[in-house]
Amino acid sequence: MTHSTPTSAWIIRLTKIFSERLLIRIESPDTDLLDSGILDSMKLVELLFTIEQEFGIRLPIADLDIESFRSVSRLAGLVDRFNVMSEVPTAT
Amino acid sequence: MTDSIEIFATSPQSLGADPPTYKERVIQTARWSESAGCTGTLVYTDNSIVDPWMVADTIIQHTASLCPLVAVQPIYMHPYTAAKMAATLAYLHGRRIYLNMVAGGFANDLAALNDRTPHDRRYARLAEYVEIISRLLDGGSVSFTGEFYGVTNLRLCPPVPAHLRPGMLMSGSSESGLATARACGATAVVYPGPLSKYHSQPSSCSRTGIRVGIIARSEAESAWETAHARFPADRKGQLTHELAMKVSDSVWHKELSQAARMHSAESTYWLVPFENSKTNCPYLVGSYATVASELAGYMTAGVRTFILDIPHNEQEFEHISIVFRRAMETLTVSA
Repeated sequence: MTHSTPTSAWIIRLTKIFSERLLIRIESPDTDLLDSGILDSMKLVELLFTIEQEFGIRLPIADLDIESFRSVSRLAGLVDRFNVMSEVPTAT
Repeated sequence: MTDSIEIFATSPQSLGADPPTYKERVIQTARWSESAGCTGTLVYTDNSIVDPWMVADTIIQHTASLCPLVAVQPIYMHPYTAAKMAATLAYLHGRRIYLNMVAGGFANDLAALNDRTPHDRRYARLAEYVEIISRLLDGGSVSFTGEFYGVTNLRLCPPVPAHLRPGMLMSGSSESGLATARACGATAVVYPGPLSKYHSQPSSCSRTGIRVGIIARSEAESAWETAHARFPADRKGQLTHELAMKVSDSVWHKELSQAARMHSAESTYWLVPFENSKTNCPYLVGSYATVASELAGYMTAGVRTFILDIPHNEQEFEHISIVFRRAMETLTVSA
């Protein structure tokens, strides 16, 4: 069975989460969220919590590399990996 | 509370507190702690909270004998300044304080201060730091050349009378932390593993203090009811804890997390508050008899200093007093 990777749609949803829930405008999906200081530890927790709520997933933080949180693109890959049971998202 | 052992409470921290009422809460908690017979109260330090020395001054001004246990991290001030603060509090108030020397901290805090010093090197720095403070407190002129600090003919004014000389504690569960505490003559403060660990390594506990929360009631069921109500599962707290685990180089953090995986949800040694980022210390939860037995076990293993978690209310001290009294009775009978 193959599974399509709707990364671009996840990117749009994640960017929306950043702007609407965290009040952070992301310039590019590849912007470094960690080294730039955009995400401090508290905002990272808020982001991951929001992602879990929005996508109905449970992230096994202990098993993930911190690099998975470095950019919106990588976060989209993460969501895609743990969201295989969901329907393909609608980019709105 | 009891003789021959020292019990410290912990002062509320300002992160997330209500600014207009925070100071009053500090004062109220200090007064509860003093009434309960605590020797002192720990005042935290990190980037996100108010200055511990100023909180200590507030505590002293609103209590009669309670000794602030001020957390001191070298990155925040030169050892001369720390010694000067201790001397100033002694001079102004005639009150003894304790110093809780801390080598580490939150990884983000240290990074923000551009402190990339590796774990064991931080203890080497702390040893120099403590040596300078100790020699300044001894009086006279101090010259010291180390890897991290150097002073020449430095004197501490005003001098600190012998009876007001600060007690010295040092946080650290790692080998280097324990070795540094021993070398500095400080009481090593650890976040304890389950009691079984102490039975197997009694020699490691000489001059050891532990940080531990206590929820005890006459019946275990009532204690657990309180524990679960006070520390409900909190996903954001769990995420915070799991992320901290990924970046922390603290030995105690990893040891406690390992212990959490090995213990059932309702064993007396309880780590749910730690796993939900509500506190850093393990809790002992259960009936008076069970918790007293655990405390007696730690005491038998050499623990003489206990630093409790931030008290929830004044009544909690009544329960805690009971278990410490019973633990001491157990020791007396078995002796």
